[in-house]
Amino acid sequence: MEKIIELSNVNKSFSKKLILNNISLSISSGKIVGLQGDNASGKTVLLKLICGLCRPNSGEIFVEGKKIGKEVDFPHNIGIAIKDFKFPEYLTGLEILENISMIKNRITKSDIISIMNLVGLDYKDLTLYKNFSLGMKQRLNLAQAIMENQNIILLDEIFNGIDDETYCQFLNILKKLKSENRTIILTTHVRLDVYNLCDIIYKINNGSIENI
Amino acid sequence: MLNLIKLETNKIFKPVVISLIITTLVTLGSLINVVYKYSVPNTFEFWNISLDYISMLFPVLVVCPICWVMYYERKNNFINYTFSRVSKKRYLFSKWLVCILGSFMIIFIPMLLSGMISFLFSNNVVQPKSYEPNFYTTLFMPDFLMNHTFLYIFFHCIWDGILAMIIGTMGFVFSLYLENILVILTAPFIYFILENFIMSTFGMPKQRLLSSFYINTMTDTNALNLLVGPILAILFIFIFLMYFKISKKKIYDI
Repeated sequence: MEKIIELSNVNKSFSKKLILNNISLSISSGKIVGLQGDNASGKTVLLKLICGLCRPNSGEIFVEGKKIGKEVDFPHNIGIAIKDFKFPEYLTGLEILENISMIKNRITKSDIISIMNLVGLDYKDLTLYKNFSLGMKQRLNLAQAIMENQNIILLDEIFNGIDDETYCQFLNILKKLKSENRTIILTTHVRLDVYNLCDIIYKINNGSIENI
Repeated sequence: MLNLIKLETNKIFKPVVISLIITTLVTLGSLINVVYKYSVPNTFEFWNISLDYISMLFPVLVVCPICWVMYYERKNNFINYTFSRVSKKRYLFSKWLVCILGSFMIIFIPMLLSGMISFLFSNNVVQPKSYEPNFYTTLFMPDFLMNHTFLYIFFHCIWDGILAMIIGTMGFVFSLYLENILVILTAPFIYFILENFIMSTFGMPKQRLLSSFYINTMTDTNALNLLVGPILAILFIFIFLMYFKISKKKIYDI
């Protein structure tokens, strides 16, 4: 199976504190990969390295065969839902997704509406982002990460702050994405049973990564 | 690229319109004040004298409605959603393009409007008893000013719009790297005030950015003075950019 993401001897440290130590892994397309680890173990950093937001201190990262930082700064066709990203507070959910979709201009308003329905958001809802509950924010975050048929989807703590119904909805979405042969990397520390859905689970511990 | 420009235009449309309205009100208020308080020998003078407020305030009027966007996109990490969808250079270029176009419009439209309205007060022009026929010959392109006053005003507005674009660029560059919104929005104005003070102190009042704003005050012999203020401002922007390049400060600050 085609390797879509490859990390080779990646090291990352912040202010002399080693976060990731000599990480090597490869991920095949169409797989769901879970990243486990304690708080501040480096899960989010690993996702940021893969999407080009962080550069490793040493080592190489290839996404879809292209070396990050050399052949491409940020891999395109990658959907990211990272926990510390926010949206403009003075816009509604639909306006936010429309704004983001205009960057690529690949999808139409009806596509956005169907994605909003999929994640359980009402496109007619005029609530501003600043008044969104955490669950609504997570839904919106997931929607933007998958709405443009991105090949690789990175989901960081997307299950935080959601109720059981939404959780089941998210699981169904993940299954659907997997059936479309999309590659998903996810992290969570609240809904550990989500890892049942994963093809591979890696645990990050003291900067090292191991397959469990 | 067009969709990016459209997107950025949507973001700043309302603030730019508000700033346009404020600038227009300031300009027209100033014009009407001049018309009823001054006796001038030419309609152009009504317009020219009325520029006093706008020439001092334009760095604030230009920067405030535009440069907050980049700051907020960086602050809430929204900018990180863009990198996987479009190249950083294209995104920032489209942002800058909309920024300078907005800056241009904020100055160009109210000033041109004010110039057009000043012609409505042609009847208020008073020829002085001791008219000095050579007065206008000391100004920049005097024949053109006397024979094609409206066109002169039009080109004057374009020039001032270009100055606004330079100031807008300065604000944009600040918004790329600085962390404080107050500093970002006021830094171009502070630069403008300091440059004004320093150049005057060193005996070069004609080379100030403020002097460049009044192109008519430049005589044919020292017309190049017009360029000193803008060039210094561009140089300042360039040095600022170089400083952050060398210090390796990132726009996408992770």
